[in-house]
Amino acid sequence: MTLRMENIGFKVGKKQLIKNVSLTVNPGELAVIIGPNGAGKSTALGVLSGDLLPSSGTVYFGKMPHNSLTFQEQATIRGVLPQLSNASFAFTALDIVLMGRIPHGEAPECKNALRIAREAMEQTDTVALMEQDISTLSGGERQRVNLARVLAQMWSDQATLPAPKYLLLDEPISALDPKHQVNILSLLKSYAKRGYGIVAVLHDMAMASMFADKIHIMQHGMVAYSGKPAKVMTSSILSDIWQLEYSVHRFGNSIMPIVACV
Amino acid sequence: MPNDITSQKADHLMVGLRGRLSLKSITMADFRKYRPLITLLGCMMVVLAFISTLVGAYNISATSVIAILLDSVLPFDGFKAYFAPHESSILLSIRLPRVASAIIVGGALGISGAVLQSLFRNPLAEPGLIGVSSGAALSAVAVIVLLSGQVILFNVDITAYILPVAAFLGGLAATVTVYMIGRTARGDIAATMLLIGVALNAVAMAGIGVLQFLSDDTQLRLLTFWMMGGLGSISWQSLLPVSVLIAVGCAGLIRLAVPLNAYLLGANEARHLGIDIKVMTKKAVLFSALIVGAAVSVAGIIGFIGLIVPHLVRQISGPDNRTVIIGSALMGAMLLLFADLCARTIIAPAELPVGLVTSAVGGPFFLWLLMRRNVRVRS
Repeated sequence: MTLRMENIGFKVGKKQLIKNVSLTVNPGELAVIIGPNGAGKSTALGVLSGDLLPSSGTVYFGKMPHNSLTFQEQATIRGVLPQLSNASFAFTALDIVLMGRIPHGEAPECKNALRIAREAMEQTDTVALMEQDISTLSGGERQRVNLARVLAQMWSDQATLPAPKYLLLDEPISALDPKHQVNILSLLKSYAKRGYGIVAVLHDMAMASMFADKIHIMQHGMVAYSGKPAKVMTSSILSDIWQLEYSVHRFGNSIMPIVACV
Repeated sequence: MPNDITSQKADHLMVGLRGRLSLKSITMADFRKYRPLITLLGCMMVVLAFISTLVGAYNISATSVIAILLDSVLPFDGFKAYFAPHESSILLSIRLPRVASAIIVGGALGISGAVLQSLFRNPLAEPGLIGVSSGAALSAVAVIVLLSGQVILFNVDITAYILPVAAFLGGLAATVTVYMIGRTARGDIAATMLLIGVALNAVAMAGIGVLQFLSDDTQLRLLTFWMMGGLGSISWQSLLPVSVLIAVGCAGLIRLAVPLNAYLLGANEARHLGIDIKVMTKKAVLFSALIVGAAVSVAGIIGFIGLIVPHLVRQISGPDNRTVIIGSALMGAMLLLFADLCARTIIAPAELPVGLVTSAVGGPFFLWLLMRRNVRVRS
């Protein structure tokens, strides 16, 4: 079963933000969407996550339109990390992560919920922040706490998932330091290996090339290129999309696009 | 075709998840953790209510109060020796309905404040803000001024009944307006509703101003009651329908505690956590309107309780709505009991409008709270 959007168009007023976009998220795959500002990356993710109602086209879980499932059912299949999450009121980081267990009917005192929240926070290196007020945390810390919430929501104790779950992440590492960027992307990669289908919007092309199984490059509201990093991260494609001089280097198995400044 | 979708859905969920039947929701049983705090607040409220029955323009001793209560419940004349007959009538037909109405009205204002603050994700929200209170007051004032004198229907004077009914309908009309216009808005529903409330308040206040201009001296006095709030004229008869409405509304709002917690993360986040936010918003607004309209219909506009009480409870328990909502009902009841106690003792035998007391005490208290805890205000 895949999560996919077919021929999606999305308009605000007369402005067409994305047109004719089809994307498939395969289980076991870490897909990354890159593209210039305003290319429609967040809009595409918004449609895929159900935040935006497309003006044309449909989003499917397998063969079913996603809105034929109840919100609670959707919430057990698909977890979404928004670009910015600002909790009002003084919830602790742990409170926030425990909310990930709401769709599973687990109250915050529930032992299973607490165990999962703790493990998710270990994975995102936020255990030390557990008792802190979320609004006193830095942007990067908040990002990791919210990722822990989404992981807790999509938690599975099985090594390989019996059925796919999806993670949609809008710029999950934008506020993180280099070490946490690498750790979080490695973590996501390990989730993908267990059968999760993951889509992340990223801006860092080096990170994207290093970790992605598949890269979608968006431009002018459309998917311009899709494929394995080696195929789409070429100096001609990148230079064309960003209007910058890119040179692409190889370090072992990974590809490293570097922008050549004048 | 629909069957096809259903069977696909069932297949998917059986294979994919743990089966549809196992999708549980968090239930009332999960409110257990906070039982100690809620019990403590409940006991404090009962003590304060008891003290309120003793004190007033005419003080009644604790022994008399207990004897009167036992006498009215038990079929046994032995208690009559402990109280004077006039004490019994003061307690049963004046003091007790007043204490009961302070509990019911204060509880309603506290609970609606807690819910609206979560719904608007704004710690400054309160029932007055979305126009419910002023909508209710406008129609009550309109009845006082425009239907001056008596309303006779089939030879019965129904003026006393028309007033609360009008207030309730006014509150409901304001809420439905907020909801209908808010529904068509794109983007953040809560923020739009807040702005609609601002507009409704302006319209209602203009209307009340015009009516004040048209009214004579007697009407002005009555009108002042609605604007400042008071529990002095409430009887058992007028309290009964109101308490039924408030009980229904509170029961509905308490069940929204967990969805409202998730909603504090943001509307989209709540939906991603499996919450039908349209249904939740609709319920929260309508139940709040119901209880605020009902409260205003008997007590007029009583400010600040809906604003302060949820803050007080959050200071003790943290922001989890499972405690904040129930705790705010109890704390609101206590605050209004106390304010009413002050209102009828400070210048006894005359009394102050209780809304003046809540505002005079609540305003500075809220300022102090802001300075001490540096309460964050975000939209």
